[in-house]
Amino acid sequence: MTELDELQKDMLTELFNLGMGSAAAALSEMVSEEVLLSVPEIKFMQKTELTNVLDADSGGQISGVSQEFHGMILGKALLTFPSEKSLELVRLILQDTVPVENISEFEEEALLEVGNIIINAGLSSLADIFEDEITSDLPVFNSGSCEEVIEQTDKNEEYQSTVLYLQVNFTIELQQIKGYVVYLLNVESMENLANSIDKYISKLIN
Amino acid sequence: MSEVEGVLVIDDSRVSRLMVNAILKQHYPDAHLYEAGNAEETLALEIKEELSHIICDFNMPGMDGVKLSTKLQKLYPNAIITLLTANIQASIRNKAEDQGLYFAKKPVTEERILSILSKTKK
Repeated sequence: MTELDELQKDMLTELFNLGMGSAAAALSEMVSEEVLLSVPEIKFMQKTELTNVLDADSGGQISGVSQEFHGMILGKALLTFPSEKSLELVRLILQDTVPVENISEFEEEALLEVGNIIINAGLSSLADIFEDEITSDLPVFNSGSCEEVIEQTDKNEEYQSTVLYLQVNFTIELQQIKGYVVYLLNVESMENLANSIDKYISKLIN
Repeated sequence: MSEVEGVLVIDDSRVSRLMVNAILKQHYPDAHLYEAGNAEETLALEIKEELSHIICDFNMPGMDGVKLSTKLQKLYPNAIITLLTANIQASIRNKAEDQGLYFAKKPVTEERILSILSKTKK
C-alpha cells in the first residue's frame, strides 16, 4: 500500500485545510453562525479502526452523507453528524422557511444538501489545485450506528483495507454540533494522489 | 436590474428549491415560479409564458445542469440562466461560462439569489 511520506502528508493536510476552509464558510452561510474548524488530521487506518474513532466521539448513532467521486482520485467521502444533533442542524438551515412541526420531514434532504456542499467544497479545492477535474455522484444518506453507516457507505467493500482517514471537525459553537469528514481512497488513488502531490511540490520548489 | 417575471428553479434537492422559492416569493411576489427536480421533469413542464430567469443545479440524476441548460437556451432564448452548484471547480465554472451561463456557488442565500436575479442577459 502506498503510504505518504511526511512532506506529502503535510502538503495534503494544507491542501485539505484550504478546501475545508471553503466548506466551513459554506456551512456558516447555511446556518448563519460561526463554524469552527479543526486542523485536518491525516492517518491511514483499517476500516474497523475508523468505526472506533467515529464511535468514540459521536455517542453512538450518526447521520451520514456519502458521495462517490471519480477522476484523478477515486473514492468516497463521508460526512457525519451525531443523529441527536441532526434536527437541530436542519432547523438552523431552514430557519422559518418551513413550519417547526414539518422540519423532520425535510431532515434527510437538508442533510443531503449539507453533505453535498461540504464534500464538494473539499473536492473542488483539491481538483483546482491539481488542475484536474473530479466528478462526484449524487449524495447518499444513511443513519444508524457508526458501523452500520460505514458498512452502507462501502457496501461493495471496495475500501476493505485502505482508508485514508482525513478527519476534520466542524463545530457550530453555539449548538455544540460537531461533524466529521472522512475520505476513503483505494490503492490506485493513493498512488495518484502521492504523484500529484509530488508534482505540485516540485512546481512550488522550481 | 433585469425584470423578474417567470423563474424556473431546477434542483434535485427539494430543500434547495424550497429555499430559493421562499426568497423569490418574498422579493418578487408577482413572479411566476416553476420548479423541477431533474432534466426529464424540466423538459416535461408546460410553460407558456416567457421565462426571465432559470436557476439550474449541476449534479442531478440523469442529464447534468450544463447539458440541460444548452437545451433550455434553445427553448427559452430570452432567459438568463445561472448554474447554481456545490461543485465549484474551475473546470465546471469554465464549462458553464463557455456555454454562456452565469455561475454561482451554493449554498442558497438571500444575497446570492438576489444577485442571480439582478444579472442581465449575456
